[in-house]
Amino acid sequence: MSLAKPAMRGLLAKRLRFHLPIAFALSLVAAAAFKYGVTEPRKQAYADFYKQYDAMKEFNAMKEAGVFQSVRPSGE
Amino acid sequence: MICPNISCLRHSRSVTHFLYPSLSERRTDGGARMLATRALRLVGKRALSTSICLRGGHGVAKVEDYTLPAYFDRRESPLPDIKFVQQLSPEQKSLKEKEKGSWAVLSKEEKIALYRISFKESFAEMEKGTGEWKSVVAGIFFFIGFTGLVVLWQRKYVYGDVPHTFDPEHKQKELQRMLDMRINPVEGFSAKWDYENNAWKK
Repeated sequence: MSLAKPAMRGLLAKRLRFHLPIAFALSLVAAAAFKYGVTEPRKQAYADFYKQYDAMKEFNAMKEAGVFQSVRPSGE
Repeated sequence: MICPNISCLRHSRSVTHFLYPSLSERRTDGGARMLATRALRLVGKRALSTSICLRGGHGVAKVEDYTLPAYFDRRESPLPDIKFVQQLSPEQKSLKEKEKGSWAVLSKEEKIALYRISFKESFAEMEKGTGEWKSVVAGIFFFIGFTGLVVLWQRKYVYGDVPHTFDPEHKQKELQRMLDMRINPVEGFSAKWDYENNAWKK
């Protein structure tokens, strides 16, 4: 009934050697996923919106709808 | 029970030191030590923590249970101060005698019996969970449910009407105004409205 002597030293080092590479890899994956899943599509959406954006047309449409206080619709 | 004339271990140092500071350092010091060593030889090891005053005709101080070493089943202190079984039955006494010999001749049951004399629970028994968490979770769910009933009753009997701004016609006018103002036209609200056909985008 003689058990092997358990590891007495280097326990933290052993744990870090195992877990740190995994932690770094997962962090990088999370950052990459957010960049290519959220920020790039958002930048593309804004680029597409402003490519065909006519500011005066939108302004006139809003003016006719009556949302401004400084300019009233052409009818009034 | 202040009796400065007693020179036993318990009283000399504490009381005479307090009442007659000049005397205690020199005169009673040697006398107390001599009496204490004599008293220690008379009294057994177990009663060491309860110094008993026999002189002066004041009787024996009662030994309180909490002053004696106690038995604890704890992971942090695996070897308690005292054995679990203090009063051995005749079989246990004979087993203890047998323990003084070679341990190889002890049977398995005898070894377990010796263990149970010294300890109340094995490590496995003392570490085992109680299952109390089930009662706790059940209580949590029950009280959350009860709170739900209270909230329903409040909605019916305590709260008044919502403001007129929640009427469907008013909400419609609100939504139309949001579309007119082009709220979130890139990715959000107005982006989903088709202004040409005056309908939501398919």
